[in-house]
Amino acid sequence: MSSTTESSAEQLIRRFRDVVGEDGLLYRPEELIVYECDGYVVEKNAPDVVVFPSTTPQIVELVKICNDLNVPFVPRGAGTSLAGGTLPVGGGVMITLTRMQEILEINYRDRYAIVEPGLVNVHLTQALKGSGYHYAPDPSSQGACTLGGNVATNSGGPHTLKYGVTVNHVLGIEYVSPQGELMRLGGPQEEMPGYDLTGMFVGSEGTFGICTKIWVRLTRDPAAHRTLLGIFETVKDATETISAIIGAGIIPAALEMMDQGIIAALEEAFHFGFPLDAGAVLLIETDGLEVSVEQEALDIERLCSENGAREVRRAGTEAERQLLWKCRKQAFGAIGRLSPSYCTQDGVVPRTKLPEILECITESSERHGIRVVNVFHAGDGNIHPILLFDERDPEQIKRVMAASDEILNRCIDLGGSVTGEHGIGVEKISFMSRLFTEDDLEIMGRIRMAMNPTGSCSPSKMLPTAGACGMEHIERSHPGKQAHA
Amino acid sequence: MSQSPKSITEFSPVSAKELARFLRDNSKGERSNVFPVGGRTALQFLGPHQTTGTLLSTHQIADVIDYPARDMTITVGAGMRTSDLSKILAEENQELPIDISHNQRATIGGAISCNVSGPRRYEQGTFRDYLIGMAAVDAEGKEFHAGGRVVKNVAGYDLCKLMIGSRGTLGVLTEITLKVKPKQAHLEAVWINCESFEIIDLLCEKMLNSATRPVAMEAFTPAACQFVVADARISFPTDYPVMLVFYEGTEKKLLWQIGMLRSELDHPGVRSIEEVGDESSKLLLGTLTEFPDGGDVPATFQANMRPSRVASFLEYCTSRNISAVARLGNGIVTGHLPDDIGPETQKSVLDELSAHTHKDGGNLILLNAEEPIASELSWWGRAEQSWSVMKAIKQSLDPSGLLNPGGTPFE
Ligand SMILES: Cc1cc2nc3c(=O)[nH]c(=O)nc-3n(C[C@H](O)[C@H](O)[C@H](O)COP(=O)(O)OP(=O)(O)OC[C@H]3O[C@@H](n4cnc5c(N)ncnc54)[C@H](O)[C@@H]3O)c2cc1C
Ligand SMILES: Cc1cc2nc3c(=O)[nH]c(=O)nc-3n(C[C@H](O)[C@H](O)[C@H](O)COP(=O)(O)OP(=O)(O)OC[C@H]3O[C@@H](n4cnc5c(N)ncnc54)[C@H](O)[C@@H]3O)c2cc1C
Repeated sequence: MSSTTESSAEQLIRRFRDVVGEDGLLYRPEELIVYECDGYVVEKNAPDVVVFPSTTPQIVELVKICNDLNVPFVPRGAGTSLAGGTLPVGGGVMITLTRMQEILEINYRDRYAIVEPGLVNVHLTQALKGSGYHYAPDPSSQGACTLGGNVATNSGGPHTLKYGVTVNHVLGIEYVSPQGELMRLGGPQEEMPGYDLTGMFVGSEGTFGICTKIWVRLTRDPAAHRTLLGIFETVKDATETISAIIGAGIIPAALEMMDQGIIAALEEAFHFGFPLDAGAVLLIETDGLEVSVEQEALDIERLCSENGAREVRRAGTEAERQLLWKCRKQAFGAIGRLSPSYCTQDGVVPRTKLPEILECITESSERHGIRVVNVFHAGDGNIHPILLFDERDPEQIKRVMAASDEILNRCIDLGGSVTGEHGIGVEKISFMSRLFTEDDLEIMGRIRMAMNPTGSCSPSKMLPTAGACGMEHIERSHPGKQAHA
Repeated sequence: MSQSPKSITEFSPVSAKELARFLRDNSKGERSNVFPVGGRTALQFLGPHQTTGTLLSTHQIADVIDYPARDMTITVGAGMRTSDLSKILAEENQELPIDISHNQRATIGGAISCNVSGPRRYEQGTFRDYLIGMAAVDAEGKEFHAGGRVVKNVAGYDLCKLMIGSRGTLGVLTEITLKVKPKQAHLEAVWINCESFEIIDLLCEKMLNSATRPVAMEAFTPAACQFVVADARISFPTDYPVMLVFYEGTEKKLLWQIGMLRSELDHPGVRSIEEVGDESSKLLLGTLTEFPDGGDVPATFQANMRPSRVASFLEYCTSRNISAVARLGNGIVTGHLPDDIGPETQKSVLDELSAHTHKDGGNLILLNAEEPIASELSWWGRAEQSWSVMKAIKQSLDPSGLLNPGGTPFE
């Protein structure tokens, strides 16, 4: 074991076994391979032990044991993080929440649900189906990712444009603190006195403790929607349309863009009938009351045409609409047809700066000889350039990193950020000192100290310094990428 | 700056830099208490006050820093008056859809620090949904920022959320970036007279599946109703419990929704359903927004509960002649105690109200109270386990407790 002596490793496993039983533990090297990385495959490091609690008291016990033995731990949901959020830097324990997946309560009268952290996002949607209510944040990974992971990363999704991200839908959180105390923040009452710690916990990327229960807000289903597909000759026409729509005061429920590269892969996978020669398509959904959506759809159609759309199609039936969304949400799945590995970036720019950033992506792609395709949340200015490569070729990895860095640095220059929804994790840690001043980071470090005094929970994540006390022995297993000054 | 005991001095820096310098010098030198202030409209809400220290006013830090209207974001100095902000946004047909009281005087920094919200919170949300970036200065003069100017951003800890509602106890906000929305063309309120609060409860349940999408749903006790009618200069029946439903949007959208609402709420216990009209609806929204400021009443409270508990709470308030307004969809009730009861009765009424909210995990805080009860009551209600975490956060950002001492629940 890297971070514990041999005897303390044995002690750790024995004590864990007492809490979760043998079938709640993995520690043989061959079993751990699956856990050496998440959706971010560029950096890898296996944990020493993976443990699968099924109750909150078990988590309390596990954390106390980790603290007793001075072993770091990292929470993990489904492992779909695209920023290496679950990477056990320096080894230690991975606490996986996937066995805690109950919906504990659905309360329509007070518009909330209480769920366990390992619940898969789409399972909540399915449980609410037909009730007239839904849980709004819908990451494209919703078929796999967990609500606990969504809370930790403050996930968004295509419908974020109108409905907001995870933090706009979380009322309360129960968590096991890094010291092993069970804590509760917020709840179904909206305005409890004091600081909004619930709001701050969301997006803390697993560094404030292990979330064990979540109170989420339920949102009314829209009464009606119109789903449109605008087909454009060029990416530029498509991005200008986005500005025109938002500039006209229309906030669609979703406004997603896909470029030619991704259209081809999707067409091969789903045979939707996407035109293969189009430069880009916009998937636009407007929702609301029946009396208003039709007018909004007409306005959007007009704006698309005025900005050079070759054609605007409408999903005529619910089945067609579902197919369009399936294409969008499974776009990443279709990438397997294009390349053995890929790395998705998550920059954000003010939406009027989309043409500039897309130009930068094209230039970087050419300069570094790395193919890039784009499918992203255009209405929010949240880009997802997908860099295609072969993980087995270290030289390609270098070029992917260089191109990614270039794109993200440009996002900062354009007044944006390096992550809109995937988080900093380990992947973008070196950008923090470009985005924030030393003083900003020092203040964030103080907050981390207050929430996670020993730094034992998810060390070496998000902030450039571990912010740790007594955890100095934990080193990153790979050097991080460097942002240029 | 010399200071005698029990004296308040005042300082109004013209820039964030100057503000930071003041706090830096203060923390190294005199270490006097510092009370950040904006429009000073909420100071009366803040409980028995400290009497020594410096009022640090942000009112001169009020410029527009960046307003890329097509990106629907705006960055301004924290001392900007909220009415000025509304005017600037209105020029682009945009708005920050949060109802802020005393908006001619209140500053955006003050409103955020108090997490102000009004009736439209039901549909439009709170500052948590709009504050996307900020700059602030800590007690020792360190300038820091968080978030940014883009609508979606998860880089670093979300200190914006921490600052919302922190009432100047963690740092002084100097710059604010907000996400804004297109301004809605019309507002229309519907006045629904009901036989009882039980009927209001039933209507709330019906509204859960209404085909319409209200932006606000309010209810009042009869005492509040009389005040509301007089203040908004409207004439509607006040002798029965009232529920108010607000809609926003195009005329076509409003017309359709009001028609639909009438048919959905056609129920034996509903005595009348009347449209208030565009102009009067705006006045009514204003009256409800200003309601927490009760003037000379002996005590003003805010009770937080699950929405399903509101109707019975209002019924109790009515029995005690309390003037109370409820955000029906959010479970927030603001009430003023009547001035014709003595201090002992006031205390026992507040105890009963608190017990009512605590039953289901809610809370009741005091916004304002007169002596003698002011110094005898717990302003923040029942202690919560999370206060220990808040304390750790406060200590990490203001270790010497210089900013707004006494302004947190856990002190
Ligand atoms: C194909 C694909 C599409 C995606 N699309 C989107 C998208 O549209 N929008 C979006 O926002 N993201 C998207 N993502 C990223 C990812 O799915 C999200 O970040 C998601 O929220 C992660 O959830 P998870 O359960 O997989 O968490 P993990 O990957 O297991 O963990 C993510 C982070 O959360 C922490 N964590 C997990 N559970 C807990 C817990 N219970 N308590 C405390 N911390 C915890 C981990 O330590 C880690 O830091 C996508 C990913 C993929 C692979
Ligand atoms: C508990 C409470 C509940 C309220 N509820 C409502 C409500 O529901 N609806 C409503 O419309 N109004 C409400 N108000 C009143 C509302 O807060 C004021 O109308 C106004 O928004 C405050 O702005 P101001 O500039 O006048 O702040 P001030 O009155 O000057 O200050 C208010 C508080 O904010 C702090 N503060 C001010 N500026 C800054 C800054 N730049 N940085 C850090 N801290 C600062 C002060 O220290 C003080 O604690 C409430 C007030 C309080 C205290």
